[in-house]
Amino acid sequence: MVKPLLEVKDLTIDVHTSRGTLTAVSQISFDIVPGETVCLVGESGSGKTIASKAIMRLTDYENGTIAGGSIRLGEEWIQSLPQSAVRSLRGRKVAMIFQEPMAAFDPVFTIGSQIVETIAAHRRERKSRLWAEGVELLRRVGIPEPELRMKQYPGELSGGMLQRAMIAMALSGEPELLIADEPTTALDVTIQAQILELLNELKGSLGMSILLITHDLGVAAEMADRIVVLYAGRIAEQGPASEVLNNPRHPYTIGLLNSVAKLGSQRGERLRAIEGSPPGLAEMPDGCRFHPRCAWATERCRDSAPPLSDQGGGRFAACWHADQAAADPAAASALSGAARHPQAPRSFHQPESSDIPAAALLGAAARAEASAGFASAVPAAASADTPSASAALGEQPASRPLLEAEGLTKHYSLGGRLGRAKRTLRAVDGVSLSIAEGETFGLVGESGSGKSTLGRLLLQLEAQTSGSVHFRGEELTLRDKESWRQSRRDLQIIHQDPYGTVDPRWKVGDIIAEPLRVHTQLNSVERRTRVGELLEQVGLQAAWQNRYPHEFSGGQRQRIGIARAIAVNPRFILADEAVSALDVSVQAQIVNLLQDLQQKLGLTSVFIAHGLQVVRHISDRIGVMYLGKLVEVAPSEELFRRPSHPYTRALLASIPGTSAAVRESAVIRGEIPSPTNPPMGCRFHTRCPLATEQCRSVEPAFVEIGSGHSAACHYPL
Amino acid sequence: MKNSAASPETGLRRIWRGRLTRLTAQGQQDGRPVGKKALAVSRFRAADTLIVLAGLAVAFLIGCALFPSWIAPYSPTEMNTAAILQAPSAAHLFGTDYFGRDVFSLVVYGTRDSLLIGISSVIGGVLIGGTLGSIAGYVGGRLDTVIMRVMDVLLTIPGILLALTIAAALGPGLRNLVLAIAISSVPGYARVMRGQIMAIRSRGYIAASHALGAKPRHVLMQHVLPNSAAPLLVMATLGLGSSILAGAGLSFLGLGVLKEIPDWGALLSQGRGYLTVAWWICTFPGLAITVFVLSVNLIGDRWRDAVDPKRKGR
Repeated sequence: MVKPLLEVKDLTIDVHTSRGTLTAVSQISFDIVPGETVCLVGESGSGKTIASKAIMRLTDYENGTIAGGSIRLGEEWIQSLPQSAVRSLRGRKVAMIFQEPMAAFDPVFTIGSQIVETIAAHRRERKSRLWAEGVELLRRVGIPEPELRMKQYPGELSGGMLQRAMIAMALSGEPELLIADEPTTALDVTIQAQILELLNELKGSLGMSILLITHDLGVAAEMADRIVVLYAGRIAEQGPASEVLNNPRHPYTIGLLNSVAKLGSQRGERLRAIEGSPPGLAEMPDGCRFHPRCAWATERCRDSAPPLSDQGGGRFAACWHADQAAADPAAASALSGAARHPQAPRSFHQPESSDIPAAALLGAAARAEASAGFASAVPAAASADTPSASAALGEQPASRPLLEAEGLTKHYSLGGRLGRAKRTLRAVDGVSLSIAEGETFGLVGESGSGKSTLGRLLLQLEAQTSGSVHFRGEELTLRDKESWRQSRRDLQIIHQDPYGTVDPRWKVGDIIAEPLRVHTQLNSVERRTRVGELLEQVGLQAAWQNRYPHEFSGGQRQRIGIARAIAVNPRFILADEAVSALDVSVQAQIVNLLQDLQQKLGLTSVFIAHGLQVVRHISDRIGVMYLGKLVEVAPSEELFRRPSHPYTRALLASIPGTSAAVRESAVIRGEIPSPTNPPMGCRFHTRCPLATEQCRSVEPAFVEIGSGHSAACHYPL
Repeated sequence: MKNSAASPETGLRRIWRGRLTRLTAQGQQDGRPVGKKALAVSRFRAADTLIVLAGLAVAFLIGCALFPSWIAPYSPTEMNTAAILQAPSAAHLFGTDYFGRDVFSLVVYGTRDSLLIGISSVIGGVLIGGTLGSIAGYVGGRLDTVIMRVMDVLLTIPGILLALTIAAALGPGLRNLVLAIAISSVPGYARVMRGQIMAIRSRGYIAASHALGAKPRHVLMQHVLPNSAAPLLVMATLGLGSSILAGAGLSFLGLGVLKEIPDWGALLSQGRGYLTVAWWICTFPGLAITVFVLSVNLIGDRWRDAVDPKRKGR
């Protein structure tokens, strides 16, 4: 057996706050052998970040102390070293990259000077040699034109580029262990796929170990050799990645896996969410910390905390009922549906049917088709669609359009002052679409694609540069203030940030009652009754009207946001990244709630998100946006089964967990160009693997290529 | 003034924190979590000593303003030539001045005018400045530019000079004095209010309220103003001290209330010449100002915390 590079034993970390000392992490143990990737998986508050910071003793700077246990890195016992000695290890032996590359760089120094400074911290050498080394590092991490980038400031580089530069900086000391704390969470899926690939490639060529911290099981599935699942500061389960993902022993892991809307799951079906939300540090439950949310919890779970017990095969689980998890076929089949795949442990989403000629089909299409086949074996699969969905699938939408947009365009002008050149940002450029009554329309795209702006234009929260929006046949416009205000009764919005969009001085009851005050004549008693109904409708208690928003957890706040949006019985709801900021287990609850309400209230909605699985799960039709243009619109299943636009295909292939071979055929390089200067011809041609001369010069028209399936591509697939 | 207000408070906060830590640690040792209630109670106990003291001080000073004859042992106009410039003693708590007047009685009798000048000029300044700042911040555009440039012009003139000019133009008298001080403090309040309104206006919940279809008036009155007011109120409590001092300065220059009973500021000015021989003439009126301003600050601060739901029950 190889001696582990890092050995963490019974690590306990205390955090000192104004409210006393709290234990953020208790008694966690894991190790990493050279060349291995270990993923720490957990939701917010699980202690994954603080545990990783303890390895570099960065906790000392954040009011944390290592209260117990040991950390051995190579030959050093980190927990007892003085800071000066730890400092010499940082960068050389262990390096770290962070979630927000923008925040990790100092905006007033060039990338080059910051990289050189890092190298110089460990070695004394001539400046010019260090500079050359910096250029080499940037080249190594795949940054184009590294000489130029060295001289640029962080603000001039995109997030993906900065994360690469961050990795280059981390590599400068040739560390044996790289700690990556949510390195791709702030990035778009296509960029995420590129960064993960880079990390894997570097690990292979440099023989580094990686400790990857993530909340995304897909990322863990793609990267990890072993997975450590943390819950509320304790290890719930750990073991080899394929084992943990395919055969979890802890109910929390099972729940997490179920919460993820998978490509294989049936649309319209409810996600299996975990009840409740993760506990805060100050209010840890006694016994097993997961018991308040666990379906299997018994008296024993409430009374005493289960130890991390050996399950054989290098697996450990901290659950009194781990045997049940291993034995219970229902739970086991529930956990990953179509995603079981013993032969290819890394491909988390891949279905079992391997007889599909992978080369002939696109990755995502293969998966979706196979999983659809898998699902049809389950009763009530294909016919489970809502009537409106099947209507949308038909050649002509049977129901009349509720909301229609015609040539919507939004240009912002930038600059033009103090001698700076005036530029035009083309946020949305000539988008036409129609949304049928009762339909859920998903809108996806990378950041900068204009999807949020389009959403705001549809609701006329902003005035368009040109084009028009019709709601139930009547033009919706900001110009007529009074009728615009009246129309708000029918058009409501669920915001991404449920806390920032409510007045912190208002009680929840008043917040939900605000639309009632604005649009109805109800008196205060009637309003309270209605608010009580609404709170119960979204799964909260009617008695909570008198609480303030800060007393609620993230998921509960989003429920409040939903209650407010449906208060006046609107016809149409815009959900703008409504679940993106939530923990995975909570996301599933909210998605379920939205689906239920939509069905019950007959709502029409536009659902904007960057999480493709979630959009697929909830939408009847999906529109894909790229640089202000709609490049493809298709019924949800169809889009995933037969993506026509190369960009759609690339998006699908970027979903973490896609197997390498599949990704190779479809994944795109580079980053989204600036909307102030979109490419000529087809806007995607700069990144498209299939681009030809025609693509570079002629803009493709948005045409129907199948029933209800349109795409803007010269060579639809 | 600002420092003297801040340092005892932070010291006290540290003490509260210590108490909290101990309380939490105990609770955890017992194996039961410390409830929110226990925390709130302990915080209240620590805080209320100071707040009660401040409240008592303010109540006493208001008492002095309303019923000076009940508190003062001597008449403020009574001159005792036998006891000139006497140091503080049992007979004369704060000593006597150069006319042989009892300084304690002078301070007590001076309270009424001092508070009247201070409070009414602050109220006037906050009302005018707050309104102008709100309009500038909320409406924006050209109106904002016009209002704020006028404020900038006013700001270039030192406050006391501005007050002096206005008071000189209006002529002496209590009302004109108050008006002069109020106007000279308007630009400061307007700036703060405008900045605050602009910051609040760009918050998500303002956009969300608009998206609901709420009328601009509703948004302004229900969301923007209540969320913007706190800094202005804290600033107003701080401004109380400088307003009292400005009033004193103007009185000293003969533009204030010319009466035989001087206010605190006038006392301060008059005693200045005797600072080396009779420190008590200046010190005690100064202390009265300090005590009053400090107490009002503490109460204002606590009030702000109480109104902020995020801090409540923490």
